[in-house]
Amino acid sequence: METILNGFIKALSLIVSLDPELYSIILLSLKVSGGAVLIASLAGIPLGAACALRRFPGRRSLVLLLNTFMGFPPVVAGLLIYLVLSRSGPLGFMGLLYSPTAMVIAQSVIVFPIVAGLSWSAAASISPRIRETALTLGASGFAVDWRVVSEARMQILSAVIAGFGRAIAEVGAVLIVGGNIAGYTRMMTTAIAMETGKGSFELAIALGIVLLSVAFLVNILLRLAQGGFGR
Amino acid sequence: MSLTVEFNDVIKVYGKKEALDGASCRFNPGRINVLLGPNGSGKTTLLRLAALLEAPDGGSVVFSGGDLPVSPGTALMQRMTLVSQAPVMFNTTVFINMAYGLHMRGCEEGEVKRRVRDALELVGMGGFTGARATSLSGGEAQRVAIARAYALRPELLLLDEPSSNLDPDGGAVFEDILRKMNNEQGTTVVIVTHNLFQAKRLAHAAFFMYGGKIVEGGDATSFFSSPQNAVTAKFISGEMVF
Repeated sequence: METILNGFIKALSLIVSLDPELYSIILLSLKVSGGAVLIASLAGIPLGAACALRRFPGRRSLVLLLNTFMGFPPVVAGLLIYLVLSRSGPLGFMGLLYSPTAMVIAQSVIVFPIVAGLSWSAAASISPRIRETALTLGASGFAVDWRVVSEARMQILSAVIAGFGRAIAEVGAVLIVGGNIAGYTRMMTTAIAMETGKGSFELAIALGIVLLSVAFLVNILLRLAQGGFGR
Repeated sequence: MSLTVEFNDVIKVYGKKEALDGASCRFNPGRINVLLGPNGSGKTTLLRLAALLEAPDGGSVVFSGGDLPVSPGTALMQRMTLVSQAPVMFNTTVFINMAYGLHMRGCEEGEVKRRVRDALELVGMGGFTGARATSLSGGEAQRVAIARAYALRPELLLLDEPSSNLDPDGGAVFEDILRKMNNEQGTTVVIVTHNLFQAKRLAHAAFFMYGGKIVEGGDATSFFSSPQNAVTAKFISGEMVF
């Protein structure tokens, strides 16, 4: 019990004293997960919306695939990206393995189906009467689709936030492709795993507190996006 | 210019149900055409086909402006609009709802603001531009929907029981707006209503639908005073009970 208590006290002192190592890990985690969510959103939202709003060959199979990959195990994603980026892999010549870029790619692969699948669900849930109203007001083609997506904006924002929550808490894939190199690819989750293994709980607890705070903030944003706390 | 819309033996089937079973009629330009009939007779389907929201399974729906035929497409859809019984509002402000169709038509911003303001004031909703449209009551939403149609200055206005949620004052304002559009802009109006008094007050021409067909139609005065079809006569006299 004393170890835990001491760990908490030292962790809080690390947070309050703006410990450089702690904050460089936090900053890298936010950059990697933020970048991954941005890429996943830029690709996933249009794809999800297209699956909901347009009819094209293979659409149903694509939606099924997206829903399946929403539960993509991070370690499997990490393994696949590792194989692609490793020296003998097809993109090995780029030398990206064990870099923050590799971690962004791995997290993008994990988050993409979540954002795309939830965006599909959001756009598909909008009443067809919205589309008809836009048509009767003189809209056509892309303008109609944009109107429907605009009506689903809060649910789509929820999809993005859920994707970020998944990315920031992910450990398996970033550990495989990032390598947990101090000051370069060490993220909050990989650092917690390593420090715990070493029995050095101060930094692990401090990062745990920050990670929980981020998860808490993500949940607040999610609730606000879904209509606030009034219901 | 006003639009004419003509239905020639139009068939529309939903699953096993024939909503339209050879409906034929012509809504002449610059006239207020009232469409009457019991529930399920095909009135709303007819309006949806006129609004180009659906295509017929048989027969044809033909549009013309002056003596020239007009092809279906976005350009034609921007010359008309449809107001439904339960109008849909986008989840944004009343102003953006009102301005949407004007932006689609390429109106410049000053003109958009002027038309939106004038139209909302006409329906007594002048102070609602910043209100969230999805929070409006049924009657308020219907007023905004009517104002939205008015602001567009359509050549063909399709109305599906547009005043069903309005109080008597709102109903009178609506009828004034309809006459104003018809008189000043020459708008061709096709209105579905169950209110026979309203139908008689507004109609230049009247049509009666039954079983997916137009069973009778023509000049409003003779339609209401001496209907030729026995079912039409029963409906107008109020003997037809469903």
